Amino acid sequence: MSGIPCHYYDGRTSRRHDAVLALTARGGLVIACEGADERLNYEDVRIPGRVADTPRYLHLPDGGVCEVQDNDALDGEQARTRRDPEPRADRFGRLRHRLDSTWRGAAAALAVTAAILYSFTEWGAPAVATVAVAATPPEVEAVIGENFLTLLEQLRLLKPSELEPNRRNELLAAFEEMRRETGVEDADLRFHSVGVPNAFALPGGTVVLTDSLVELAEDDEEVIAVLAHELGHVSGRHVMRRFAQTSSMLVLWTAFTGDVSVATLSFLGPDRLLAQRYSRSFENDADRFAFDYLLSAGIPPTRLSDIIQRLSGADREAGTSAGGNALDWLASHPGAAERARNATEAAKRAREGAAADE
Amino acid sequence: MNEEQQGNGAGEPQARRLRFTASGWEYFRIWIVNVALTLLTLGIYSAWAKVRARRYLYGNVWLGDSAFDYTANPVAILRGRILVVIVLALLTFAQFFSILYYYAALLALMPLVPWVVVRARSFQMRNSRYRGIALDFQGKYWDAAVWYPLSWAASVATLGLARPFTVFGRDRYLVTESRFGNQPFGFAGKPRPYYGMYVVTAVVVGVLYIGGIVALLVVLSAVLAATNSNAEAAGPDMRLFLVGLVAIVAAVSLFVLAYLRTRLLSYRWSNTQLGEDTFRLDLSVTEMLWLYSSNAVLILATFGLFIPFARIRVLRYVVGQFSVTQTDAERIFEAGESQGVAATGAEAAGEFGLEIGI
Repeated sequence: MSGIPCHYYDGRTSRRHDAVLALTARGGLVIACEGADERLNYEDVRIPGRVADTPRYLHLPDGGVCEVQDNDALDGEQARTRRDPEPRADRFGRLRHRLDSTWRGAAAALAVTAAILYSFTEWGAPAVATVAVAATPPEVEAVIGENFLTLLEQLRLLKPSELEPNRRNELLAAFEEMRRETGVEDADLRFHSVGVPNAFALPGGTVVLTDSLVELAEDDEEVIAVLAHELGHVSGRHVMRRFAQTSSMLVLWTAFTGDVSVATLSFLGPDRLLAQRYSRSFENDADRFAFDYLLSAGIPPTRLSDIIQRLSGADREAGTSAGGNALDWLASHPGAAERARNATEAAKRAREGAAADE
Repeated sequence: MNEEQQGNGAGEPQARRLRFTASGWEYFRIWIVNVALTLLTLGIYSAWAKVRARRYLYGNVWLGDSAFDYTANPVAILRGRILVVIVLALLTFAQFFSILYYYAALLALMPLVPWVVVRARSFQMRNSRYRGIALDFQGKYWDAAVWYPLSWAASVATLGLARPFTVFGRDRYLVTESRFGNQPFGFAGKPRPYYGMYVVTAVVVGVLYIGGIVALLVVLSAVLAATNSNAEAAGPDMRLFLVGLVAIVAAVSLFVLAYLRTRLLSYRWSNTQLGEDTFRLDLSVTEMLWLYSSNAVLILATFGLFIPFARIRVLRYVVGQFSVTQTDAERIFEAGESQGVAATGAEAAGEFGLEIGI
């Protein structure tokens, strides 16, 4: 009878005995050790599944242990005697070994992981965010926004506006009309000085408009276009959504890396990409909202892309002179060219719609 | 090879190094399959994943011609994890009502800390085997209460002056209550070296903080002077300051991780005895600093895919620096009493595989 060389420990001392292990066709397991044979029932022995080429410890019913280093020989004996490879332990041990000992299995696992991470990014996180945002009472959101605004003021990132009161009142009136027309009730407009042209929406519906943006605009239509865009963010509660989406991604990422500190470290890269991706889709949403309003108010949607183009030019200047602005991340406006195209298309569609009506 | 030398009788002490035979790619395959299955099963598989990864790592640590064995039952780990998730969920829930409830709940959980420490440690030890003999931990609840929650309070009350002593006490407790079979471990460490390590840490951390902030202020004022100190340009300075602060905190954590953890680990193991056998762990702080920082960069650059390789790199170095000096390499150890329990009822109910961050 051919056998597998192994080491036998009786489980009471660490004394090591050289032994030979053999499986019999009738479901027996024989350990030949120092001239004596121990005959066991194969089903009573706990054989853990194979992990790479690490030694396997067969746990015998009397507490003894049989250490097998030649994994291939043990696999061969099991196949030869047609024995269930894991009679008592590790039910899917062989499947798992097949998966993680081959490149094909690892590639499949990598593909599955990537697919899950991707679909969660694409559909899971936005769905979670929808539920989370719906469950957040507007009062709570308003408090968050208010606290954040106070913080920005205390850090002196936002300074009081130096616009003429008359000018402010004109813009407030335009904003008021926009609110009425679009039905976005929880929104208010504040003026601040930041030093760079910017506009952003906070949780709770506060829209902040900076003096420089008003100065950069050629006329009120452009300012209204920007405000309509920000009202789109308010209407979609985008700031809260972004927060909920990023948080739920971090939870999933922790499952991926299996450790919170490692997760935070390795999340830094994907986080930047995700923020870009989510922000782009929010910007497109807000743009669509703005185009609809502008068309209804008789303002060409291209006015939005006009000022955006000028804004990105101003951003680039600010970027080279002073290393960007601390508020950049609040209002990331990627793809000025793409948005100009969208605006032109929206205007064209509106014209075609009007032509069809006639 | 010297580690292959067989027992040449008592008297001549033999130092043998541990060998680590794991490979980064092999571990990567196991890791990625674990990740995929964990994501597919909404986290339930994580307990099986942990056992499989541990079995791979333990099975590649060799002393002489035997490798270690990890025998934990995944179901016990899953039970422990479910318990932890429930407690964390309740804590988060309490936070929603009032921060007071949250602190009350934390305080109410304090009496459980010593219990968790003892259970987690004995679970880990009892499931680690070498030559069929399990390690064991027989620490008492009240000792754990002294060296965990009460000594935290003592450290805070003495503004950290008691901290080195409590860490010494904790190490002594953990080592002397551990056994290999029925042989208890001994601890020859003294409190004084702990004070030395903490003084060095405190001095370097202080220098890093103060020097870092001074350097940051110098750079900032230079930038301010260069940009002509525009009153509106507070934004970019703020961001530069925050980035600098994050860099300083990262440098400090990296140093504490590499220096303090390395020295504590080396000292604890180098003063551990098992009967007449002694251990030695010689870790170089600069080597650990290099491993940690290069791992951090590579994990960041690969979106986390380097994690398994990083783990193997650190383990290969640490395990390779570990040596055991025995007067008799073939010394026979006897199993402890608890092993009988573990062997007859490996699936014994009530065994929680609670994990605490290590």
